[in-house]
Amino acid sequence: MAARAPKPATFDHNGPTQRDKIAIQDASAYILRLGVVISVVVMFFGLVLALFHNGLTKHEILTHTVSTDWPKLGQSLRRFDGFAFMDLGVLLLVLTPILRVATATLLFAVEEHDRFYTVVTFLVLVMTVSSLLFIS
Amino acid sequence: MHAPEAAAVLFIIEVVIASLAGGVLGSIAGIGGGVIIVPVLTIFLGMNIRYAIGASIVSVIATSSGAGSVYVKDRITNIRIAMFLEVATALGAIVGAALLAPLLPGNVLAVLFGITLLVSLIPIFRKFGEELPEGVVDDALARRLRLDGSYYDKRLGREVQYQVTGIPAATGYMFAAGVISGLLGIGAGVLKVLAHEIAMKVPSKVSTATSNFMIGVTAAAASGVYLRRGLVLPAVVVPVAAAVLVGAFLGTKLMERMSNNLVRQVFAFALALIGCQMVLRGIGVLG
Repeated sequence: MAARAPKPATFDHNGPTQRDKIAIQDASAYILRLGVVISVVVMFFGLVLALFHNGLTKHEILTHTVSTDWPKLGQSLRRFDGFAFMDLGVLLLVLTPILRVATATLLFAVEEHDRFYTVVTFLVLVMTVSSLLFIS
Repeated sequence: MHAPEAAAVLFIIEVVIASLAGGVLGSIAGIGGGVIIVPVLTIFLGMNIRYAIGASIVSVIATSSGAGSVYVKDRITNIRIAMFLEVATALGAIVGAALLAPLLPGNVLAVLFGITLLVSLIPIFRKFGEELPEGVVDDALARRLRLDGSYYDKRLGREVQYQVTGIPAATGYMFAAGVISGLLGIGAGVLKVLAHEIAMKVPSKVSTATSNFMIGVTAAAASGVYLRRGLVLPAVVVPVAAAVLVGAFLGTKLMERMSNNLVRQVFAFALALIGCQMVLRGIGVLG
């Protein structure tokens, strides 16, 4: 897939020598779209693999939950286990909005020099990442 | 190579058909996928409600991100409002998913779900807020946070400037929307839109775009908890997410052909029946 770079904002009038700012809107749209497409493709590949390579059973559908044991996930991916790809796809999908928040934090800090919104987005980032890592 | 079990293939086909129908129904009635997917998985496919909620909350990320990315690229989304209120929705989602959901028995979840579905249908029968609110003055907080904005309205053919008010109330609504999201595995888009239109008085296009943008983060915060709890069945999530996306797209196309409020109300009536069924099941009247 051809990677489309986010279009730079055109309303920045800091003179011709300075490059245009990366707009948070464009970066967000790009990450959301790319993240959803990649994760859906990976998940779908996993389901097809599980169905026709591993011989999926209804019992497995209703009992196999996403593994949060990341080192084990890597091993299963190498074994071409369909569920490992579905797990990875689900994880990528959950990471998509989180990555969007991380990018906004970075852009508010580096491009906008907006301390308040840098802190606000960083708080959201901390909450979403900790829900994935610690909270249950 | 191993052939899949026939029962497994049949189950996936059932999930796809049910989610497709849910996606079409939801987008025609103007409400999100999650609020339909959970009843469909529990009532028609007999799934445990906690697993249905786990599958739904992850799929919500996919459906909200699609529409969310278009609005944000077109500069209709107010990203400052979104980022500021995401603190409240993400916190609410974690509280709902991690603290509240485990405390409530499955049948209470079903009753809450049915009630939420019925409440979500209210805006179809009664329009809240105004298309373009007039005479709104920025409140002190909105001014400090620079939340006012503008967008280009394609239908009106002009740039629309708007002010924002009622931030403390909106923050409260958003926290509540987050709790419901985390508890029931839905985007709670209707509640977010109401907070935007009733409390903050932003134009309805901006409120739809902005709440769509926020739903992904709310759902991600709740999803993390559901993943760690072992309540996400990936082989259910995949067909649900894919079919709801396609269903919502088809629903939007259908809507363009029959842009008629009566049609929406008929669909909303069908959803109201599903909502009532969830309540009745929860209180044990229906098996």
